[in-house]
Parts: sequence; structure tokens; C-alpha cells
Amino acid sequence: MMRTVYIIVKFLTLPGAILHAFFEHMSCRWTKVIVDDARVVQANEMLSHVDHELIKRKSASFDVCFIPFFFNLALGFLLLMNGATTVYYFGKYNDGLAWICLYLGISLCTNLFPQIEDVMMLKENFFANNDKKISKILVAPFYAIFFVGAKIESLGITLLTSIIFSFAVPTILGLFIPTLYNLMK
Amino acid sequence: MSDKKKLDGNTPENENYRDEMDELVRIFKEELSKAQEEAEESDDFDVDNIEVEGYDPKTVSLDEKRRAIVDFDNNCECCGERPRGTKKNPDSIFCEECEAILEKYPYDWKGLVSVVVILAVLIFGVIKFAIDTPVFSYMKSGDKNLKENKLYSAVSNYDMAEDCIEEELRENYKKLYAKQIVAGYKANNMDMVTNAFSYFGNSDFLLFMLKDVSEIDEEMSLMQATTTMIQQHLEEYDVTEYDKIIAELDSLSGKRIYESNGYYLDETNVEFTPSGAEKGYIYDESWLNIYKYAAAQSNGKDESVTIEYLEKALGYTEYVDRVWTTVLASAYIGTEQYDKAEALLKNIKNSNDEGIDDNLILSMIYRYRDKNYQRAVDICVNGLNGLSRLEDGYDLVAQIGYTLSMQKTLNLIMLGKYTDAYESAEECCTYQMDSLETVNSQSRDMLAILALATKNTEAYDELKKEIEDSGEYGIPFSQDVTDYKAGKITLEEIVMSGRYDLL
Repeated sequence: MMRTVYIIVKFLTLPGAILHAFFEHMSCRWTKVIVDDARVVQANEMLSHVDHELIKRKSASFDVCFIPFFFNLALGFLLLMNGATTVYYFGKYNDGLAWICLYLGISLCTNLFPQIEDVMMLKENFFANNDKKISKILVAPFYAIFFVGAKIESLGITLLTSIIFSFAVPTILGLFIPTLYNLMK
Repeated sequence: MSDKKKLDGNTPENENYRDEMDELVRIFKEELSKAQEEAEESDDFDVDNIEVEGYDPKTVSLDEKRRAIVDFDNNCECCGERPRGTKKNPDSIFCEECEAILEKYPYDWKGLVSVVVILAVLIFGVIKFAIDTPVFSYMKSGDKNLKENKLYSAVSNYDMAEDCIEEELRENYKKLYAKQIVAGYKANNMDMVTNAFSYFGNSDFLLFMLKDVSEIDEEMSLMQATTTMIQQHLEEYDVTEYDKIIAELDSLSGKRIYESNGYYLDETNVEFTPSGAEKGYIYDESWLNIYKYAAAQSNGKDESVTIEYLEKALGYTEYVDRVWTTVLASAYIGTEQYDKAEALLKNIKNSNDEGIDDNLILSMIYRYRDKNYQRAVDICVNGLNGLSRLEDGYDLVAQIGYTLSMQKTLNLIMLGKYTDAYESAEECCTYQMDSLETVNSQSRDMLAILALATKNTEAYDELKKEIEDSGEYGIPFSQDVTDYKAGKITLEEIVMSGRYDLL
């Protein structure tokens, strides 16, 4: 049941899923992780992910989780900047570009998190040894975010959270845009 | 466990199992020996013939060769055969060949197309947001002001947000106009409210996000329906027919009004039978009482009567409460009910944090009750300074500052500072001219009285000449001016009469 919901959500937010897979592939190439299957559209759990080898290096396992997360979040936020403010805040309901931006923004923000296997690999690489504590401390918050995110993404709940996030975008922008604008005036 | 038990017996079934297992063992042994033979025939398997990169073939031992072959920690992570490191990056975990292949691992075309499309949309979106940034900034500042109950600043910011939008695109910004309506209505800026309403159609109010606007529309429609119908009913009466007017207004209480194609009718119109398609209202009690108050005022009724009507008018409509609470407080001061007036100060202040009505009432209390004229002047000055400190966009001192200027003038007279009072009265007239495009007779008369008090005959003659030049439209000086000129009345009496307390 949850697998079906997950796949439906992924197809509903296909642009974001494709982009997440693309950035995951990009990060694999960047960190020289061997990719076994780079097809981005598949009707299974691998939709929005690429199939890659096990990662033994710390930096690579972090990058493969973080880079797609960061890019999808950044691009999603930038898209929502126009989409959410125009539709929700200005009330311009007849603006086509704004609706496209809103959909793409929500779709990107729905597909932020890595696969749970990748998160487990990150945990294995960073926390299963007696290495220096500093890297553990730095990575711990990311691990927590990725772990929770991957879990809720596997249930398809990220669609709801990204819609809620889109409503919050005008408020978030309101915290600094007026100040910046007044400084630039 | 059960399978083992089965095989222990000598049943025909178990015999078959044993035969199958024996057959599998035979096949495995055959295949293994075949593979070993093939491997022994192959040169690659000859350890002595193997050349291992990074090792000297003359000195390398068999063990070292074997270790090199299976040493995955030092060999390429991809192929496992060649040693790690490339010319470009000696520390690479891949060999030269594998790294070259991995670097060229193709992207799925769908990913590339998506990136291009999304980036294109993103660029357009960001440019559009950049264009709308001033509108967004002013609207957000307005929201903040509205939250802090700083209504004049909110109105000003929403007005500036509108100025940042090209005229032909304005009607799309529904939420901006919704906010203008809310802020303008609370700040009693009906020009802004009327302008903002022109951008909405009736169907827009069905949107749940415009609930606030819809409620204001309902309240304004009710007020408009009530006032229109009251005026229709009172048309036949002369203003002096006080009892008849009151009786007529009393008879309207609780009656229904119907709106059909912009016209209003009520239950008293016998020929009209509502079909159900008409919009219905019930007479707004607050406006019925305000008309009674106006009738009582016009007929010189006792202040207790006028106050009673005002008290009854409050508590029904938000707009009436905001506007008429100050009038009621002023009426309390007129009847020396200072405690009641003070009690209303909190409500007045709460209706607009930037409003000056509380300064106005407080300065009147200080003048009439405490005779503390200097404190009253300070309150007026503070109020005027507060208005001038507001965010740019509106010159609020000019817009609404004349009421406080007049209070300041009256208190300066009580302090005996006639020259300062004259200057303040002049300022009051200037503000009034800017705001109302005319100077009302009270302000002009006060200026004339102060011209006489400061022996500025030139200024007095000029004012008199203006009245004469206006011919039949010129309103003559009041009795106060002529009495003061004749020495029949003192300045103190004029100030404490309450006739010059502008609201």
C-alpha cells in the first residue's frame, strides 16, 4: 500500500523526482561512485534515485546524500519564491508562470531526501568506527534530517510537507526581503 | 528437519531424492574439473607469466604476485585488477582506464531535459519575483504595521505597494487590494476602501481567502442600505420635527430592507413583495441611533439625551464604534463625566495605535478637568510629532493634524501665549486647507479672535475682506468674534465653551 502511495507521489512530482535522480547521478560522478543503473524514470522505489555501488568513503557517502538534497531544496525554494508569493500572497490567480513555478517548486521539495539505504551507509561510514568526534558532530544533524526525511518520503508524506512549506515561503521571504530592499533603496 | 527425516527412511520417494543429489554432485565435480583444466591450459592462470603493474618482474616473489592480484585495498575499486592511481590524480581509487569510463558514464536524457526546462522556468520566475520585490516589500511592511495596529503606516505601505505596479496589471493583485480594504477600513480611509473594492467582482468574495473583505463588504452594504433607507424615510420631515423623526426612526427598528438591482426597499413599502432573489438586511441599530443623535443635536436637546443615543449606537458595527467612540468621549467631557471619558480612552487607543484621537481626548480632559494647560499642550505636540514620524507616503499631519493643532491653540491661549496661539491657529487653517480644501468657520473665527488678541488688525481685516469678497457664499464671523471685539466676552470663556473643540 505505502509503496503504491510512494510511487503515485513520485509520479505526481515527476520533475522533482527526475531532477533528484539527476543530481544523485551527478554527485556519484563527482565522488566517483560507480553507477549501475542511471535510468531516472522507473515505476519502482528507484524512481528519483540512481542505482549505485556501496560507498565506503565518508565524503562520498555524505555528498551522495547531501548534493541532491541541497540542489533540490535551493532550486525548489527559488521556484516557490515566485510561485508561492504570486499565487498565495499577491493573489494573482491567473498567472500561468506562477502556477508552473509553484508546481515545480512543490515537486522539487517533495523529492529532497536520499534513499534509506544511502542514509544507512552514511551512518555506517561515520558512526560505526572510533574516528575523530568532530566529523560525527558535524554530520549528526544531517544524518538526523536525512533519516527522518527518507522515512517520511518513503511514506509519500513529503508531498504534504512541501505544500505546507510552500505556504510558509512568503513568510520566510518576509523576514529578510523588506529589510534588504530598504537597504538597497 | 522434516526433509532429513524423510531421507533417513528407505521409502521410494527418498530413493529418488538421493538419486537427484548424487546426480548434482556428479555434475558439479565434472564442471569443476573441466574449469580447472581450462584454467591450467590458459597462460593467464600461470602465475609465473603474470606481469603486475607497479612490481619488478625479476624480483617479485610468487607471494607478492598473488597478493597483488587479490589485493583489493590497493587495486582499482572498479575493476579490481589494475593498481589504483592516475596521472592526474595518483591518489585516485581507480585505475586510469576505469576512471576514464566512469567519468563518461552517460546521464539519462530525461534528467538533462528536466534540468534545462526547470532552469529556464526558474530564471523567468526569479526575474518576475525581482520585478515584484518592491510590491512584496511594501506589502510585508504593511502586514507588519497591521499586526502592530499601526494603521496609518499600514495604509501608507499598501498605497506605496500599489504605486509600484503598472496600472494595467493592478487588477491581478487581489490580495493587495484585500489588504488595502482591511487596513483602509480600520483606519477610516474610505477613499482607499472604495478604490480597492473597484478591483473585485461579486464572485471574488466567494473565495475563502477573501473572507475578511467579504465581511467588510457585508458591513458596508448594511450601513449603506440603512443610511439610504433612513434618508428616504426622513425626506418628508423638516429637521425641526424632532418627535416625528424619532417616531419614524423607532418604527424602522427591526424592519427588513431588500436590495434589488442597486435599489433599496423595505417592509414598509406595501407594494413590494420580496421574491427571495433580493439581498436582505435588517436596519442597523447603530445608524438609527446616530440619526436620532443628529436630530437631537440639531434641535438643541439636552446633552443627556444626545449621549444616550450615542451610547445606544455603539456595539453593533465595528466602523461606527471606531468613529463615534471619540464623539461620545467628547460628549462625556462636555457634561463633566471625565471618568467615563477616560474609560473610553483605551478603546480609542486600541482602534489605532497611531491614531491621535486619544491625544485629543486626553488633552481635553487636562484642559477642562485638571486645568493643566501645559500638559495638554505637550500631549498635542507629542501627537503631532508622532504623526510626522510616520513612514513616508502620507503627510498625516496635514491630513488629520488640524484637530490637535486647534487643541494646542486653545491650550496656548489658556497659558496666555497669544502669539504662539495665533501661529498654531494659522497652522491649523493650513492643515485644514490641505486636508479638506477649505477652512471651516470655527478655525477661521479662532484665527480672527487671535488676530484681535495679538492686535494684528491687518490679519483681521484680511479675513473680513475675504468674507466680503465671497459675497452671498461668505459665512460671516460668529457671535464670539463680534462679542470679543466688543469686549463682551473673554478669551477664556471662548476657549472653555467647547465650541472650538474640533473632532
